[in-house]
Amino acid sequence: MKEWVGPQGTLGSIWALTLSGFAGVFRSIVMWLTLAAAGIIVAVSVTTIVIVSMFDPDEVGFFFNGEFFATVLGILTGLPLVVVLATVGARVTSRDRMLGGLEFILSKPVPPWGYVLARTATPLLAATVIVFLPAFVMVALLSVLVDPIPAGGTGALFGALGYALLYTVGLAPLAVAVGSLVSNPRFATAAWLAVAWVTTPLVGIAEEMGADWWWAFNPIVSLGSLGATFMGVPFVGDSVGAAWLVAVLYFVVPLVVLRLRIQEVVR
Amino acid sequence: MITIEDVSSWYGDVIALNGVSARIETPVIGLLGPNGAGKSTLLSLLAGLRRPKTGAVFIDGDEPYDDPEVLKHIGLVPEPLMPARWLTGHRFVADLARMSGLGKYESRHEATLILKRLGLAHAMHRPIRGYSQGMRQRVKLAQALIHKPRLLLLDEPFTGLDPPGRAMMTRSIQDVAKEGVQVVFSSHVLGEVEAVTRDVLMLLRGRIVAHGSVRDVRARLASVPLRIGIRTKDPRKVAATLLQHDDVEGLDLRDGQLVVRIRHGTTFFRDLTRLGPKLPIDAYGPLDEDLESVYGLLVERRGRE
Repeated sequence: MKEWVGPQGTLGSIWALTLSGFAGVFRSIVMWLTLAAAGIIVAVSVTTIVIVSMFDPDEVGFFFNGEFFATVLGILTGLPLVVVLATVGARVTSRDRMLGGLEFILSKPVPPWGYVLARTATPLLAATVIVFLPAFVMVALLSVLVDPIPAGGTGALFGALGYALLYTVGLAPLAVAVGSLVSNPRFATAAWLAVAWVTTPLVGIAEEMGADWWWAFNPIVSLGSLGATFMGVPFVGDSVGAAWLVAVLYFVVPLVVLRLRIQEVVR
Repeated sequence: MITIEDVSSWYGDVIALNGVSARIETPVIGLLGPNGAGKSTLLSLLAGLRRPKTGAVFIDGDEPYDDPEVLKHIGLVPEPLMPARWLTGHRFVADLARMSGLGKYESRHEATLILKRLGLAHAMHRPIRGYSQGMRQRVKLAQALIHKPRLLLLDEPFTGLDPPGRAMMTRSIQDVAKEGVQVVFSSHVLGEVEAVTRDVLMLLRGRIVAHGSVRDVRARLASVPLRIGIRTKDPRKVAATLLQHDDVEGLDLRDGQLVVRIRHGTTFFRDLTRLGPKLPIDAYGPLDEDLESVYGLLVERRGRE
């Protein structure tokens, strides 16, 4: 009889789960693109306009230093991409349910938190590779095309990408929670996107308030911003209720899923 | 050893298991029952995937639910389709081996060994989506055996297999049992169970209706009264004749059809064949061919005992 490896085995199992989630990344992205084709087209169009405008020497400083850059490039380009990546969490988890993968996985000595962590790590790793790698390439290209880059330009770029990644950090557990409760990958994706759609403007609020980019990962902080508006409707800046609502979405729901044990939805 | 103590489990309003108690010490046992009998639920309880709503299950004295120390000694072959069909069989088994606690290189090595042992050496580096049903079942079995469990649970392992695939699965289960692994598998066909083991636990609507050797269960089935449906234009005349037969327990007329309850099918059918030409019988046949009916009769019988 083989001896139990211990903590190393637990980490190994989480890593293996993450890798198997990776294997589904490309399929998930393709399917999500089908669902969100319109949004992507808009994002790409706006990005193209922004990038083309960059070549106007008179406007270079505006696009690199102003909030316009961070907001437009970060939200309209970065966010849809990050949404795609974070959606992988929901899709991979729901596919586990649909195909009986949960039964395979959870009959192993993988603790429920290990499963959630692994499935959260999947979109995070994907985000790191897919968002930051092109970002470095983009900065390298810009450094060649625009010489010299105005002060703060690269900072704004990484700021936009950084908050996009942190947004993923915040939402990935939620994506896993949604995916674990829904066995249909398309429905899980749609449900998760609905959540993302609701929370996305909160990120924008942080930017509009001139907050530091890292605020964006925490909509609770964003909600606390006095005078912020959402689709023209003013937020009650210190609304404890709204803050609690977001807190529930971000923290309590995943915890409840853990408490209920994901395998309780295995049938 | 498996101990099941007054276990009940349900999904919403549907009761899957109802006060089930059993002690399983035999090396190989088949869970027999029709769809909805509670076989898969019982297996998922043994595999620690679910917690009984009431009662408890023990594997060698420990409850499997939420206990990695117990789970690492259990191998499960679930019924659902293969997940991760884009992975190769080797990668799939190696990944699940890592989840069972094996190291990176050890898991790959063990995956190669177990897949070769199960006759998948030629296909283990191909994506699972190109596998036949039998090959997929063997991959499932491989991932359940790779960490050398003490207890192997298989949910409908013969489903979708062709005769060579069934023979292979039967042989594999028996080989595993010879190595000292306790095996519990489910099936809805008595013949499948009989091919693998002599011990059976029969479930029906969440209750155990029989637990013992296949021979005992067969004897029980043979002693259960069967029902024969007879289509005739003159049911009175036919009924009057058949009532004189020793094996006939009773008669009913339902929907224009004469329903005869008999004790032993063999003798009665032989005599019916002989009497047939002398009676106005248009057609006849057993009404209990489907397993559900047979199980239902078992339960009725049990209730009268």
